[in-house]
Amino acid sequence: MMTDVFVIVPCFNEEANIRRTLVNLLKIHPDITVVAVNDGSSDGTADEISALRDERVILLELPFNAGIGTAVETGLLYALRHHAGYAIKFDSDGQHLAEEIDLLLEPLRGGNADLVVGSRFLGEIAGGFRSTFLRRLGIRFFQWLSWGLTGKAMTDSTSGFRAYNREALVFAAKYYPAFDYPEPEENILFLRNRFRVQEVPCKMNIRQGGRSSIRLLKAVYYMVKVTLSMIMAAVRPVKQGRKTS
Amino acid sequence: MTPIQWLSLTGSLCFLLLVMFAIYRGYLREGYALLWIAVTCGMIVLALTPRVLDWIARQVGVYTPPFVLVLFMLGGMLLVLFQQSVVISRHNEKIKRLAEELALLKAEGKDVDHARP
Repeated sequence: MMTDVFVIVPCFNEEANIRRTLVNLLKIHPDITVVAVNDGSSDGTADEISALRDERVILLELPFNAGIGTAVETGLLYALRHHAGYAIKFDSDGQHLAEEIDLLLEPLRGGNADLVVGSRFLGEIAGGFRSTFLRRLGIRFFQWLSWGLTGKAMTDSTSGFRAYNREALVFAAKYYPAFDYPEPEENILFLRNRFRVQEVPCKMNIRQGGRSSIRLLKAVYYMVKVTLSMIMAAVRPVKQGRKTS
Repeated sequence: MTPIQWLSLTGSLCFLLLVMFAIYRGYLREGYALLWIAVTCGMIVLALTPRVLDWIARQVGVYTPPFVLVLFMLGGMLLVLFQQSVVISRHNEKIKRLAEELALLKAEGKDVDHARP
């Protein structure tokens, strides 16, 4: 039963991949609802989505480029208002594999976790992921920082492939860090507020077309900003977190 | 250390605390705080290293080294102000877009009402 599963796909200038991503998603999971959030793309992304003419695909259009955090939050709000039981965040560039959505949902359905994050660096699959030296260094640093701040070492802090149960969805829609590069801060926010966060090993694809939004020039800004956000998320008082039962 | 160095050191430290507190309480976004933090840290480093201060003073031809501190602060503030102007301009554009979208949405809502039997 997947009718209560909403898959949120934030898209920005992704006309080359978006149609393939969505068609593939619906082929593997025919009874999900896809919430495609067009974040003010300047290319034909919105047209590509509309052209699908599929009632399972909801197109939300932000009037300008508001940033990935806002795009995701818009999708979360839509899912919340339409009584989603589970929400998945799925990248538009084909990086995430539709087949692996079940892996993320399993711990949620079993009641063992509130937020499940797909990790490229967990388990046997880890050896398959190749990346530049600088990127690997950054990944190590975030693993260490996450462990230092919360006591839980998230192996893939920046992973955008994640699934929320209803309670996590309610929380995320309210407190999502709606700015650039939200994922590492989001992990800390959930852990800090006593949600059960679990990582599951995922394969993921290398990027097909398009390019990563993290370029070398931006790397320093990114590291400093994310580090500061993570520390602040860890020391801020607990919000109305998960009810401990 | 000269009095102005002490003054800029304690002043910068207090200001850094204020910035951190503002981020902690959510009054200030991390992204906008980074420039403030960078400028303040620069001030602290300069205040703590009189030799660097002297060296810069000789290079730029300033007679009193502490004046370099004042110059640095002015430069930092200029940068922050410029950043703010850019952000405000960007927000102007976005608010305009939002107002337009809202007007269109309202009109569409009315159309739906008219269409009702």
